[in-house]
Amino acid sequence: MNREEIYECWVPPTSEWSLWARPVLFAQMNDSLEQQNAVAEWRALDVNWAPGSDSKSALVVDLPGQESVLTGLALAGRGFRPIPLFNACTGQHEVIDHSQIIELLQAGAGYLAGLTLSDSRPAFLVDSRRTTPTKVQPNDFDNRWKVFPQDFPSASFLSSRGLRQVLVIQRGGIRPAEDLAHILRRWQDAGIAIEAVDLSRVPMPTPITVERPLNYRSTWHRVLEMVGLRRNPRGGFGEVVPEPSHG
Amino acid sequence: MSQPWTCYPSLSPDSYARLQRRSIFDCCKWHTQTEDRAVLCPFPLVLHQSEWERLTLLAAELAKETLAAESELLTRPDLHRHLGLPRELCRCLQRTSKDLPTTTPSRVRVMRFDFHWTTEGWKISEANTDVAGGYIESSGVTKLMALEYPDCQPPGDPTGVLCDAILSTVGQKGLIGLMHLPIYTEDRQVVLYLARRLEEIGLRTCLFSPEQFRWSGGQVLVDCAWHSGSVDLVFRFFPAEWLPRLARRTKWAGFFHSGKTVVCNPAYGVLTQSKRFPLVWEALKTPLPSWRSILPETLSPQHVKCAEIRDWVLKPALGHEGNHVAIYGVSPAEDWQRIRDAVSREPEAWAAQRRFELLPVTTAEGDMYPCLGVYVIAGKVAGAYGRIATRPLINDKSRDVVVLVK
Repeated sequence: MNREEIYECWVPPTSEWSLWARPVLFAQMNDSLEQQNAVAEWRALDVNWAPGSDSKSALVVDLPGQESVLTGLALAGRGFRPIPLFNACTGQHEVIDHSQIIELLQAGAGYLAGLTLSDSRPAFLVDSRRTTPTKVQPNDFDNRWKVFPQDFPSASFLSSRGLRQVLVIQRGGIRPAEDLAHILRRWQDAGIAIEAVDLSRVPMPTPITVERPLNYRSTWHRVLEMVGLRRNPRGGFGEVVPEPSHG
Repeated sequence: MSQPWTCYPSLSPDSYARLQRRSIFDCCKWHTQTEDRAVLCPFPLVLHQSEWERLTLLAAELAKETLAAESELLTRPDLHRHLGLPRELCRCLQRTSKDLPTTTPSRVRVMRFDFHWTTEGWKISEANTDVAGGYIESSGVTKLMALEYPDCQPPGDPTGVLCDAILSTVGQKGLIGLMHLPIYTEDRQVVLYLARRLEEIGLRTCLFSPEQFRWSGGQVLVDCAWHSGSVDLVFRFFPAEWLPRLARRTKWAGFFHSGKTVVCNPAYGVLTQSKRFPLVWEALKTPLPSWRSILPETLSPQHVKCAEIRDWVLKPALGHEGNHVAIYGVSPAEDWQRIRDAVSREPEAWAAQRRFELLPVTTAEGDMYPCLGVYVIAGKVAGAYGRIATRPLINDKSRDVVVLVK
């Protein structure tokens, strides 16, 4: 399959959730790359913690790159529609390696194409490595990224589709990442129940209350946050520059 | 008042999906959705040919006047403090005014004038003379949309004109540095698209971040894992007012002086980028008849009577994508108040522009307010970038709308 065909398997125009899928990694796939006959590793993945088919839940899978895609494919086997939200560019000397995500997007395309997925339950896939590391080499391609409320459907959209609950899947705790907290808090404020599951422990979905994050609902939040990612010579995140970069 | 444009019928869902697909894979248009809205409208606005010709003449005149005013402003550092520029930029510009003989005017200047259709005819709200966006939409996406409406043509191809201007400046095999913030996917997609178009005409490209260069001996030297050495031209997709935040070792002030490395745009374009630019007109010898006729009256906010403040638009002197622009009754009440407070604290960093009444266009999605950005590149009108909103305020919540000509 070429990259457009792979994209269509993951982002079929017939699915309304496809609107939120990010095409960035698909558009940067190398068509000449030989696609490996991947063993379907996702088939063996245990996703029994996932809500049943009668649930009114959307999922946010916030796991390390490769695991996020594998989990998305495993959830597809349970009827969820995986929506890749990887909003990162890729290239040589990149700070965050996307090669494994890309390989799995390629490998999983045929599998997805063979499934009949209901559009009732989306599973948004993000990469928990997106803001790591905090120090980068000055000569590297800094492709770190963050998620923002604009990247996800609104609470009213979720509600209009009968989705009254969101389950966040993570490792290393049930407290959501700071950038994701902005999205979850908005949904929570609109009456959507938030649960989390920590795959590094016994994976039991647990209701959580998302605390109000810094700069919550600030009009400037997105811009402040994105430019705050800029590396500074002392390492870590750079100084804030409060404007979009062009007119 | 009759409209200069018509909203054509929307593409069918299948045609729109195909256009989106081609935009993604052929034009690097990767920002497709924001919350519950598709970024690109499924319909074009079609300008009457005569109106496009009128705008072309206006934009060309505005560009000529802008360059003339800029040249004069470079010799008038006494006026720079009225423009709301950061102190470090004023210091750079002062040095530029002393080094004028060595300041090489850039042969590759990009400007975009943002036009609105109002009860008084065409007006501009601003000029982007430092960094302008919209290349993907005004070139690649516009061409794709035009294929769906065979009785219309694209108004131009700004990216193509830019690439040709760069080629004629640096010659074949030139190496073009594309400076941008790689953590912004929206910016990365633009420079990747530009790189593709430049490479199609035989130029070489090098994408780099603002921390991966330094000026030395009048040249930009890029130092990153994929390139170490000079470039022939830098396309700067990074606003001038952010330059002082870069590390000192970059010697970023070189962007104000050009030199051996051609810069598009030279950073002294910030002089006319400032929304307070009209405040110095009376002190200039350069006549600015087009600017005066088409830009609404602009004052420093402390000169606007309190009781009349709601008749004015409050804008930061250096702002982008309509951020922090406040219009009473249009901006959310809390934003209006927050910005008014900021203006009170530091009025010299803001401008007040008399409001004009925008006329909406009827679209398949209801009445909407368009803004038409007309590009002038290397002195030539090159094309247009359309944005549209459900309220009379163009900001980062606005959508892209392709503009065609018939």
